Amino acid sequence: MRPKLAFILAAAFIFTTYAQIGIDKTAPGFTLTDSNGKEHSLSDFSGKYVVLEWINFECPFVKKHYNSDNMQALQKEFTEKGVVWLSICSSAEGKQGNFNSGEINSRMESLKSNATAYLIDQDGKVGKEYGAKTTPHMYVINPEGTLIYAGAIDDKPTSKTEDIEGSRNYVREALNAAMDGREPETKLTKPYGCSVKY
Amino acid sequence: MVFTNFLHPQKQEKVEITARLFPLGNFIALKLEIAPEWHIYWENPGDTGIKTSFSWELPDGWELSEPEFQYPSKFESDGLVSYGYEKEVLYLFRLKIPDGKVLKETLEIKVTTDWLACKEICVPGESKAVLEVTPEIRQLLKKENSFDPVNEKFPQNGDNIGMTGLVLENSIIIGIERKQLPDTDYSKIEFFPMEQGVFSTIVPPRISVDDNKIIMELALDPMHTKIPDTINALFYNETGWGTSGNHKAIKKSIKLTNQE
Repeated sequence: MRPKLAFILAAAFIFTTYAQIGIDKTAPGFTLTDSNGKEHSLSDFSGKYVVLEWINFECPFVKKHYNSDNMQALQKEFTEKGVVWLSICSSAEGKQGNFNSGEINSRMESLKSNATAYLIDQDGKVGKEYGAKTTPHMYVINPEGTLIYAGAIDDKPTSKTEDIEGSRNYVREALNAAMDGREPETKLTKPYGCSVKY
Repeated sequence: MVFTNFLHPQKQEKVEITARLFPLGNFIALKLEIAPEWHIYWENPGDTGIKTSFSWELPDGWELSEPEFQYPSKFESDGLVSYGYEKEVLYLFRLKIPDGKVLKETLEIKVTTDWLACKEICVPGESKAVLEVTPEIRQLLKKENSFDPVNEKFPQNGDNIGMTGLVLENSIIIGIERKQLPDTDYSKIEFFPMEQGVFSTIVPPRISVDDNKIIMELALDPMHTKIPDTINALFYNETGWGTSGNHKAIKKSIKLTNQE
């Protein structure tokens, strides 16, 4: 089968428009307001590693990683090394996971979250630009602003807390590899969890 | 590891999914009945969700194949596409029983099905089922009959249908030979890849049909890293493929070539 050249070129043109974000490409810039009303731009963190964690407190898969303290431990491990950790919620108004600032801060406090900030992306613009599909959906950006990992938090796509122990944590692997001057062994995985409630 | 429940108590959604096991030819069939409005996921769940999984307890020496899946439906929400089932679904597992002494007692097959059910929200859960296998049922299951999953919801093997795949920068073009196919409408073929993360779920395929070929342009997922040498997929056509029983879905492995 040899499709006509014009057909191939047309297809290539049509589909090029969908390629917006990619591994080893510059991570899209954004500015969002956090749960305390402070604005944060990705460019504020130039020169630092940044982790983006899409979050919805009501999702069973987010509960898996927060009720077990797994997410907070990971946040602590790397924010202590200077990593900026941004939890981002793209739940639209009226949808699951969309809370007012007071409720967000109350939950962050009771959960003992170690995230640098909880950013509100209520119109979903940043989530859609990054192609965030699930909660959690994790992204790692290096100090040069390049996306070096995107996907699942680990290799056990279940909602069971008992599956965390012994799982392979892709975010830890990517950060440790990059900090050691190595390429992450795994740069892209399929995220698992609830759909982002755009 | 210490597990604590810091999250505030939520209104707990209850999802009813009942499971039933029964013999069907030399297969064990598992039927799940899914509560209205909820859906569970196919082998490739798509953008979100988790595939349904099965844990079996079988008598010593008994073996089950991987499941035969019915073709899925598409569920689209907020620009995300998932593949799965609603209302009810049947899975078929081919059973292999070892030869040996004739047992007179009744044996049990048990299965625990782990699922994620979603509508606007998602709830994980499990359903259990037991099949008591009497000596009579056991004899039926041991027969190597050529049971064909005549249920039209099971895809047929498309080995006799010629297909090629050409990899472009941002898409893959599938060519389907028409000479073996009946004269019917192929303009609305749906594509269900078994591999995750290769194809865009949201960009619909572009299909053109002439006397010799059906050509499908499938957009790649912008986040894909590696294109496999072969793709495995289901092709669903509402008007069928002219196969025996006129199944609406065929499954096919397609070797890919790169554009020169």
